[in-house]
Amino acid sequence: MMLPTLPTVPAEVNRAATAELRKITAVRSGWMLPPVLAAVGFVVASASALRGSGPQPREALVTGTATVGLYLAIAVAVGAAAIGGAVAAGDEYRYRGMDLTALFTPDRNVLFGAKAGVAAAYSLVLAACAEIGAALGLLAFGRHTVEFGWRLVGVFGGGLLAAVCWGVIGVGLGLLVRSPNLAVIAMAGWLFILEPLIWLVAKGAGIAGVVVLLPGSATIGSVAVGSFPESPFLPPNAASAVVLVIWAVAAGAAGWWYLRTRDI
Amino acid sequence: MSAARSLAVSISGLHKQFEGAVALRDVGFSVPAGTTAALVGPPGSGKSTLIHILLGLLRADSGVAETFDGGGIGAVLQQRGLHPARTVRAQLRVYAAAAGVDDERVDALLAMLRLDEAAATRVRDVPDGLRTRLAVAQALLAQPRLLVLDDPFEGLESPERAWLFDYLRAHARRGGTTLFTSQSLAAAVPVCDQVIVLSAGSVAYQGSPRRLRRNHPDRLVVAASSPIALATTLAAQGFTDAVMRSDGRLAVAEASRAEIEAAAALARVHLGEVVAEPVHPDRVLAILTKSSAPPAYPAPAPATMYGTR
Repeated sequence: MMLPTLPTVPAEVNRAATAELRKITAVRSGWMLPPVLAAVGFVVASASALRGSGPQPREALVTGTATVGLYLAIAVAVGAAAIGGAVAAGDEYRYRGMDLTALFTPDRNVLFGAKAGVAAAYSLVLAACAEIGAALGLLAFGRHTVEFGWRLVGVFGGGLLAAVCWGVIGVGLGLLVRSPNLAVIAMAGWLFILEPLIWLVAKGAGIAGVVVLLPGSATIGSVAVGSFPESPFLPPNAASAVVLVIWAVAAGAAGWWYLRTRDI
Repeated sequence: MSAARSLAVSISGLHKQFEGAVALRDVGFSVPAGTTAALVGPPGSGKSTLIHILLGLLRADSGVAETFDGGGIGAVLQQRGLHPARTVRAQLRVYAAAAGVDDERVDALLAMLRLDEAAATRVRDVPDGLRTRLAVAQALLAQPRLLVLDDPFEGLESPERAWLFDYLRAHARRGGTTLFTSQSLAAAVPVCDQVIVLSAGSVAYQGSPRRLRRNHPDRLVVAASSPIALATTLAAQGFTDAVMRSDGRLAVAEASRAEIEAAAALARVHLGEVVAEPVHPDRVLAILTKSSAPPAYPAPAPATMYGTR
């Protein structure tokens, strides 16, 4: 009986992806960030596990305040992933490296795929490191206050998904605005200024439900498994994940289109 | 068809403008395989725009720019594209991965371009000449047949330029082709078979350095008992390009020795020593491009001004 064979990765894709990976590991921040995030995760999760309370089914945060550190660690990892994605794409223009990259990888589809794929993988690593650190903190200091069950697994999974999506969003914006700083400002401005304003306006207009389609709401909804059930701003967990993936695909597609159709 | 096969680069009817400003106007030339061509012109003449179009990084408004690169293209761009936070070696390894070459090739290039001592230094901390060498190393990673080098002499010291000249000559001997840009004709002619002079986006000259030299013959520097009288007589005969030197001698362009002697006799001027002096290539460039830009690089020794190729 013939065994099915795995599809071979084309050499061109493999080369482009290796180059993108080396771009990350060639700078100090690239290889220092994962252990730093693990340490941050461990510290904040340990602190909240020591001071917080256990699961509160009737409270907003159903996993209990002892897990606040975990959420913080995920937030930091998601932020780092978004910035990492923006830098991966924007730095190419900042230091005029995109010309060279495009020369070595003439197929712009492969170029984008390698960049977005490696950024997504690196984002996954960042989130995983932060979550492993946080999990160790919870295990060490929160065995009596934290409920280790499927809900917590959902939080971990949501964090990984959010980091990957924001890594891709960062790449898409970095390619669109051709600057890491502008891309980061755009993301921060949206999340901390525009989206809260839209929340307020939508609530005032009596259409608070529409904000569940926004990326900030979708991110919180993806991670906050079962928490804030009464909030009109957050979609259900599964829907949040889908909405967030759609935002990542849209931002990535916009960056891909721009890379394909415009001069370098 | 067979003619196209022997070409490494073919450009025809190339036109590009940026927001109304014409960068290239009906530019056309070709570079035969196995030769070295220099694209020379002052800043803003369209050299880098042409290189970017040739490499597929910019789209032309009209015209065709093609490479027939059976063995791949290696390029140095004017904006070197080096990340300041990477080490020299890491920078090279990034594009080695993209080119599909191993670390042995990286180490060989580091040694060949004498970058090995700076291999662990961050790009931001190395001098301009070393950055240019690093950019050249990147271009050579995949041992390409066609080299496209935008301003490769920028920041290089004389020995480094000499090394690059030698490399380009050896590359041509191996059948490789090079198209490079330069702001200085003097820097370019020692190594090229063909010169294309760009002026304000148009080709002002295309041909061999030797023909360029024939078109701009030596000046004759003459000692005369009355240089002013001699210059006035020469001007009356149509030889207006005569310049008085600080040592009192007269440098005359375009007039033959016999014509100068005839003018001296007419002006009753006693003529002393007459010495032929090659016109500096960058003076030729200034004439061709009607610019007054100073040479971008130190002038080479007179013996190599128009090379031996």
